[in-house]
Amino acid sequence: MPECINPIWPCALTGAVAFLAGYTGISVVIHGSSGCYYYPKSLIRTPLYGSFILHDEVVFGTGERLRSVVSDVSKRGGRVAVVNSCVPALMGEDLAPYLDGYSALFVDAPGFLGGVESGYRIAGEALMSEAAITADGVNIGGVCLLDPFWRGNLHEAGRMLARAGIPVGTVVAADHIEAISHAAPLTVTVNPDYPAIIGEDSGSLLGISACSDTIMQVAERVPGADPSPLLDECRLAEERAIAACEKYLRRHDPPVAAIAAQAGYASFFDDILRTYLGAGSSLILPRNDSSGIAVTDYAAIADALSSDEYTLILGSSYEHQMQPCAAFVGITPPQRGRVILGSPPLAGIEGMLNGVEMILNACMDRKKKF
Amino acid sequence: MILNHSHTDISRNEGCTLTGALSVTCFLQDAVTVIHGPAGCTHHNASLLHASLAENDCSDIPLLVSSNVSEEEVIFGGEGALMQAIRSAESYNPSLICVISTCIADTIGDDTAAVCRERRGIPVVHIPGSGFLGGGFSDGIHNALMRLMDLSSPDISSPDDSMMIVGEKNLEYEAEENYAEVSRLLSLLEIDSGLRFVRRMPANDCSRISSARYAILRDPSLYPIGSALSSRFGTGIISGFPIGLEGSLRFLRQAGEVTGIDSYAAIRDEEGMQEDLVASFSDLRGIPVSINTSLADPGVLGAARTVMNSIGMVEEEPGIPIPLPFDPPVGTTGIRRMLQSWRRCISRA
Repeated sequence: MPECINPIWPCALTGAVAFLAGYTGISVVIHGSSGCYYYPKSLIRTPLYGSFILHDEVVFGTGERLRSVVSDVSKRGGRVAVVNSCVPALMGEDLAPYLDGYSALFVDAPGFLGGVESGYRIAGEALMSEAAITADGVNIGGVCLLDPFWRGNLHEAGRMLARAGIPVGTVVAADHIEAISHAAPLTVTVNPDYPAIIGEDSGSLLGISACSDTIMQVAERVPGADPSPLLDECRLAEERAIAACEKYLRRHDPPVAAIAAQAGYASFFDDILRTYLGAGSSLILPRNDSSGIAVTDYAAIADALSSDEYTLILGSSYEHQMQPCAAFVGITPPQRGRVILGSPPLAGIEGMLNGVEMILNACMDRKKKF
Repeated sequence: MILNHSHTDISRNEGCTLTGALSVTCFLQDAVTVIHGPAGCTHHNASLLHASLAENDCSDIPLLVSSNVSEEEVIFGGEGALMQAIRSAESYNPSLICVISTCIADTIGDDTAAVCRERRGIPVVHIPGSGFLGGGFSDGIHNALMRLMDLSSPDISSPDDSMMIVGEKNLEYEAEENYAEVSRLLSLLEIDSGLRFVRRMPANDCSRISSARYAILRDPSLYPIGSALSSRFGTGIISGFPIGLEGSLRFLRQAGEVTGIDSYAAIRDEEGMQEDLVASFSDLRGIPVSINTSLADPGVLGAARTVMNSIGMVEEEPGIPIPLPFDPPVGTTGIRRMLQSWRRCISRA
């Protein structure tokens, strides 16, 4: 792999831990060094455990140490998930015998396998191999504790589905661990960059037209579902968004935007900018490579952002630091130096309205400053 | 949440050696750090530096080049990737390249030191930083300072009478305030603070380390660094930053002894300042307070109890719980900040 300069997207281990930490009823043990523990711990605000292996264990084997930690964690009740990090993974040690007698899920997600999304998928595949489709309705997928909008997305998806009379099977990945035994046959996603693994992919709730399409598609397959109240809501929400943007455009030019985010969110905001604000295509710097080559080097991003006079930046606090004079909307972790306590969504109808609102407020605030 | 901490097993939970080494090299100006390992290790630390520096109003993060070890390098070896990363670092024309190895690089058996020894136009320093294979966070700091010290020549052309500051905790929130307090105390003896080894120090200044006649260690745990400075360059060493009221007076006395300056007047001045400080917090006299001593640093506890006695505060259960700072309060000014936080806490009780 070519070298990289200040990579700004977390590793596969972090993605796997974020997936599993979304479940209650299962304790997550990071099998690795303290360094591999502290970073995910700093991002994921849930209890996590670590095996904190040392030099001697690397030489003589880490199994006994892992078993000791799993034994202690098991006493707290519930299941245990072990996420394997780089060094024990490449030692090639067979750790399965050390987990005998415990209800432990072993997930091999060393950081060198890739980025967050890779780890999320690996953990998802491991856990969902135990899932059972026994419920009606749809699952909600695409929830990840690393996503600053995960709680808002979850609330909004739940609200919309309830309004349409569509029952929810399980939420991937933010549910009780036992809920994977009651999964539904269909899955809608709130963030397409985090795959749900379980259920038939039945569309996305990201963006107003995707919401309409998905709700209609799901309603056709779920007995008793009624999409009409939501379709009315979509239409009214879009009218409100258009009205607000038109008012802004009576006094201002469309923003020239650069978006540094996961591919799904980047596409969502690019669509808002073009559809409602008449902006040209945004510069998109995807964090992951699901729809192009990921751009995660700090230096490469800084170069790209200095290539034009962008008036609006959507991204993380890294991009905000690079272009402090542009209007800024924080949509990508990390968001350092900002307090985020509430649960705004990006998915669903409220998510679209929130997206438009964030852009307009950021642009208007910039106009007041300069 | 951490399980199975052993009090005799500090390195199990103290943090990564790599992070410790980076907390030194990233504060060398005009240097580039190469991290030989997976991109994730570099990201973790870039993110930490981004967060820490943002809190200190610094918007730029240091340049970190990752050799980006992936599955392929794990199987076939990563020395080629390291050479490529060093070439990339060279393209920025730094004065110095620091190469820090990670636990992955060491586990797969890459000879990082040999790659660094190859002749290049820019000096390349190898700093062992192999995560838990090489110890913990403090070992990373020690490794970095020792290797950077190697860049200094023992031939001193012009001895420097200012006081070198060694091993400042660069990720500490109050790092600049602590430095300012030490400088203030030194100024009472008419001593200037000199090289900051290493905090925002030009990489080329590593060659001047040997010229410093005196040095203050940030913390007594840096004793091996002080010992090396002393034996290699004859540097006079003060073993740590001044902690609390008594520590400040002791520091002045020690600095006077090391430099041969009479410290009597400086100590009298500082005692006067401390008396004024105690008097200005007389409203706390007689107030019953309690301290959670279970996880307290002994240095913090000692400094806190000394000033409580000076003011006449009463430690008893149940008293108003008062907070202790995470790190020992540096100098008289550090004590003032601690007392201010106590006053706020008591007023809210």
